[in-house]
Amino acid sequence: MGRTLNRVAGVVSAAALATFAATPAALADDETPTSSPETSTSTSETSTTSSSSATTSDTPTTVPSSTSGIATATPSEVKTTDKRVAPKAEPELKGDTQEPPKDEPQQDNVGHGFVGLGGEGVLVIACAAGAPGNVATQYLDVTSGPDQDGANGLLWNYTVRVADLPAGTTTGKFSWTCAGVEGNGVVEFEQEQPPTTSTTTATSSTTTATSSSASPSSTAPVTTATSVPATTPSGNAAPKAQVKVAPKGGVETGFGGMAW
Amino acid sequence: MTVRRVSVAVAALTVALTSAGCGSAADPKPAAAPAPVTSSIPVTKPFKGLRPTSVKIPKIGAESSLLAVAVNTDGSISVPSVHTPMQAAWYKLSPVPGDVGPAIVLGHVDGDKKPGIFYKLKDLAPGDEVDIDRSDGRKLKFVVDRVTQVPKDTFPREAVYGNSDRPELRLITCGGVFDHAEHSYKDNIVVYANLADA
Repeated sequence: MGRTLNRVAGVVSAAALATFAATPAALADDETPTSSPETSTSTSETSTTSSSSATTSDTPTTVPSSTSGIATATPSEVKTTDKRVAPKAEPELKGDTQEPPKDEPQQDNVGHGFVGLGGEGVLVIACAAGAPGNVATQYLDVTSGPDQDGANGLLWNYTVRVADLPAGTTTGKFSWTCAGVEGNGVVEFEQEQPPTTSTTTATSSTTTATSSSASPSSTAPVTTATSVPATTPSGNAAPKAQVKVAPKGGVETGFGGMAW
Repeated sequence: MTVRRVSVAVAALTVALTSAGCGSAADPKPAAAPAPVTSSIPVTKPFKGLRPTSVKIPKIGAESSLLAVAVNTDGSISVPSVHTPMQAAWYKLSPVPGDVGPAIVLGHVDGDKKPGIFYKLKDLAPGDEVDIDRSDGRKLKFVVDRVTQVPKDTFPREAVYGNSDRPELRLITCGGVFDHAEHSYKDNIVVYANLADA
């Protein structure tokens, strides 16, 4: 009997330990908003960036590789007829870090571009080896970069501006090298949202007839072009957006679940 | 018989998939599948252009330097590490505070089981002061106009990110109900402020 009780006690203890271990990292409250907490939020963190050199390498060294609208960079030749190439990446500097270890694995050598309604945007390239090189773009001029995202050193940013974007183009391609390995990504050109009220007018509307843009060269990147209503401003002509790219979704700035 | 049909089907499918494959022999050598990065990468080359350098909100005792962040590869806004919840950031694809337009500053409400820099952001009220310093030495004072709480899934992009005709500031953090499954708050707190002497 005593042995049995000991076993029961052991099971209970093990269960308690397991429950403790399984407690979520977040000190989340129940799902009921409460009044404002009293915890003080005095500050302490004054991390500052340390590197001092301005980084606007603005000597694009490019040679158009074809008439397809994509250009590739060559380090030695200087031709200014086509600026759709990023400045040559500078060597990575070793210095102070601002970022503690990140928990979740992130994909290396991937990238994506976002261009807002105002025709300006950003290329984001994940490159753990340092600044990407040989960035080549389609329909875009690179206006600055590369610089690292202040919160995530894996991500490198180039700011871009639309150049000669065919009307109705929704995506383009870009490429780069990361540690000598080529990477490819897609650039999204944000489109004006169509009016929510649709319908029945006598005029024939020109909606959603898809047409792929023909590539002049077999090696040219494929551009997805979709016809849009004529009133939709393209990136070339759209009024300037003060926020160049509106982020997708909300802002994820709480993970502890202790505030509400 | 059945096995033979399956084999034929598999072979046909293989051929179809192969012929539909991208790239030709003349294309550059495709990159190997990228490996995930498990450790942090030091930020050695941050944005050094004109930018805000610090934010201070006296009423709630919030003060932080400002990182310059952009978006992740999925288009979501990049935020400071959860391990440094007292660190705020400026969205560098928005105007520099003091320039015309909505400058976006964000910070954690909490993280790593600790309060974040904007833990009390929701306690701000119209008339409260927000101070921003810039890399060119300018010191700016913004005055809170309104505080809103909005669901993330219906985030008011136009109100927050749309053009304005004067220098404005948006302070953004999380709020509302905490979704245990998603490990995230359902809402965002957005504070709208205007430049004091604009």
